[in-house]
Amino acid sequence: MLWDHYVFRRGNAVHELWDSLLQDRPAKLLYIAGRGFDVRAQAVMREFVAGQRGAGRRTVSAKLLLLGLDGYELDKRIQELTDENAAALKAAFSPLGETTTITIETPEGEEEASASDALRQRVKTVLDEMGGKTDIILDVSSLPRATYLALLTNILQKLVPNKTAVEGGAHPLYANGVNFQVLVAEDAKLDGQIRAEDPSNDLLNIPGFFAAWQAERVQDWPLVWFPVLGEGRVNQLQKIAGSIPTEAEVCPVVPHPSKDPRQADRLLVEYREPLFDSRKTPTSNILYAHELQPFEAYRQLLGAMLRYQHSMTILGGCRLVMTPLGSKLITLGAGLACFEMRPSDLNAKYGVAIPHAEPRRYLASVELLQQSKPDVSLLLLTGEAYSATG
Amino acid sequence: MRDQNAAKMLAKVMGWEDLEAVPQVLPTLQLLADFKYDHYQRFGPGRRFIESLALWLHQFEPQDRSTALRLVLDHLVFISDAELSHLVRTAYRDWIVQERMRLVSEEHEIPSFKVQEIARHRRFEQLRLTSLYLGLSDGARTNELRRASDGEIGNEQIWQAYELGDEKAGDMLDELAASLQKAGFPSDAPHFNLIWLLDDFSGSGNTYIRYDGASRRFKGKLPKIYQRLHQRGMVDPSHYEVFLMLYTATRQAIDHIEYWSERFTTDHGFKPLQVRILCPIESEVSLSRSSDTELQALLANPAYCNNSVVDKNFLVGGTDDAGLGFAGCALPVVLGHNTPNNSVFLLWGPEQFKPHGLFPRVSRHREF
Repeated sequence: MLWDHYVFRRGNAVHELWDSLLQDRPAKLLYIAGRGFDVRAQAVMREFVAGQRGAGRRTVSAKLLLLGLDGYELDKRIQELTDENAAALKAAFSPLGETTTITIETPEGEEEASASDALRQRVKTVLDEMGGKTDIILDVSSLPRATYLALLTNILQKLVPNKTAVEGGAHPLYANGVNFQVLVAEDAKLDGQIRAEDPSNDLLNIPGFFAAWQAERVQDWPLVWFPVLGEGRVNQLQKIAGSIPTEAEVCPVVPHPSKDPRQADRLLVEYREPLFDSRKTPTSNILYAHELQPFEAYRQLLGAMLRYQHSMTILGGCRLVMTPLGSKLITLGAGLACFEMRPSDLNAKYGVAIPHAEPRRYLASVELLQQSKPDVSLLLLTGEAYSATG
Repeated sequence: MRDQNAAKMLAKVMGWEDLEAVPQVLPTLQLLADFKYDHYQRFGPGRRFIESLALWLHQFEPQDRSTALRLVLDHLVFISDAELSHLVRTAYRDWIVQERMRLVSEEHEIPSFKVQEIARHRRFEQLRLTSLYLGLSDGARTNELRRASDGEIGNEQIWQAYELGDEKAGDMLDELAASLQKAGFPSDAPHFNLIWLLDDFSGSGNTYIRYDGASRRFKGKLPKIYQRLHQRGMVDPSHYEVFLMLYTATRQAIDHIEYWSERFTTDHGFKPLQVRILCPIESEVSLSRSSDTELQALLANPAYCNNSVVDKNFLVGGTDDAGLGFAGCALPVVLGHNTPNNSVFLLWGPEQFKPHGLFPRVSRHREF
């Protein structure tokens, strides 16, 4: 397990970590954020920039990559908020460095190919900016799920090309000392009120994962589906469920513990029809993942995937399909499990797929977004933290 | 009983003759019953939830039954055995190991984010060996915790009870000396450094610590443990930390334990107690916060409570009215293995009483 020991901080502990990690060190920063409507990204960036301008910090270079997110139907006020948010993020970062906005045009026509292509291009543009950087910061607060999962897993793939520890060598996560941190501003109540609607009929595959999971040659491999349940996303799940064979093993994942102790029960009731009435999924298959602890969710999901992969070797192989629809922190944990589980051998007798039904419309209250006081969390995934020496 | 007969029973008791309400409520109840409620360990052999629910609802006047059903549908917090086991599995990696890392970081001035360096430090291993784990009740699941540690907690470091006799304490210290010697940390007078006190649930905190005004003494499990740890030389008085780890607890209990344990440890010159709660239950969950006036009337109705359950142990909670449960906590909480008496009587009332609870409780000691 790569993150047997991990670095996860919340609230004030995030600042303490930055003070310790970035103190008296020449930093070449790449800060990646979404040009989305979620103004919570501003809170995270202001806190980071204020810290980096403090005593004892040395910024050699800094660049903000703002990822433009075209192709969504947003009402006029939300669109205005998106533009205001972009301007505010740029202004907040300006004391440290310049901003580059990346916009990938989605051409009219073949929707699935173009959406997948746009995502691949967005990821490639980000990866191309990583050279020579000491610190990479991915703020997922205002990024859509498919985008931040693609960035998380592909940045990790570039930094950690070999996941196997070598006797006497550096830990794989040392990654030549490049510190990769993921920031999340979460407000569970607000997240539950942002409605993602009208999911695309055509599934988007996260780049780097098993795109051929529906191909003829692997149809004999049993399929294990891990839908990570989240509030208000039944329509997205149903789009994906259409591609999951009825005989698939289904292991729903619910948040526990959660701030709301009835949350797991509510989600089961919400997803009753597609998962339990239609598919007769046994409730004994249900897995639990901590709502606020992504490394616990990672451990649970990785453990379950390894168990199935091991058992199904007898049947010649298996397809592991993850559908993360839960909170951002659980989704990040699921992303880490998928990254670690992804086979590096092209001839491996299993594959990991993350098909996603991207919503085409988001509905949110501008007032609630502006009033939100999110909790900031940080996952430090690679770099000095994983060096065994002082 | 077959599902179909149980469903008919429920429909009959609820007066759902037009059967319109059935498809709205029954599939939800059946799903949750299959997921959690059927597994309540105090149900008799063969007894399942829907049948129990119908019998429970039948005790109420017909006009009160829909309110009683709302208590189940809208408020019940059922923490299943599987959920408690999941909490125990998170305890070691995400709490206990993290505290050891913090200590090594502080003692050796290693930045706390340098997790690989800390994990390879000799002190990290030494603290693993000098950790002692004590169960505070039979809900502490000490065996599960040991298994979740993947062999990092030895049999000799864990005990399912907090009442350590002289012989047991001596054995544990001898075993500690041997394991330290084997790992290259020889010591003439070994002591435990980190004490983990484990339990599954606290609703009010009273059984852990309380101040008895009449005798001007602190009572409860925590004062006893502190005294014994010091009396038997289990810890070096200048260098130890005590953690109370509860898998779940109410905010009322957390506040109570933190307040009174600080008073106690300060008064006696002991190291402060550090409280760690894996799944806190916030105050909003308490039914006393509900704005549902019909539900409040149901809970206050003396016909739906039986105060014969009030005994000297119940009175410790400061109330002689069983309706809202021990210490008036008014919880809607059921644990998969037993219902706490901090919940409302309608959930935990023992089976032999009228009315009885939906998830009847079996007492850990004789309560009535």
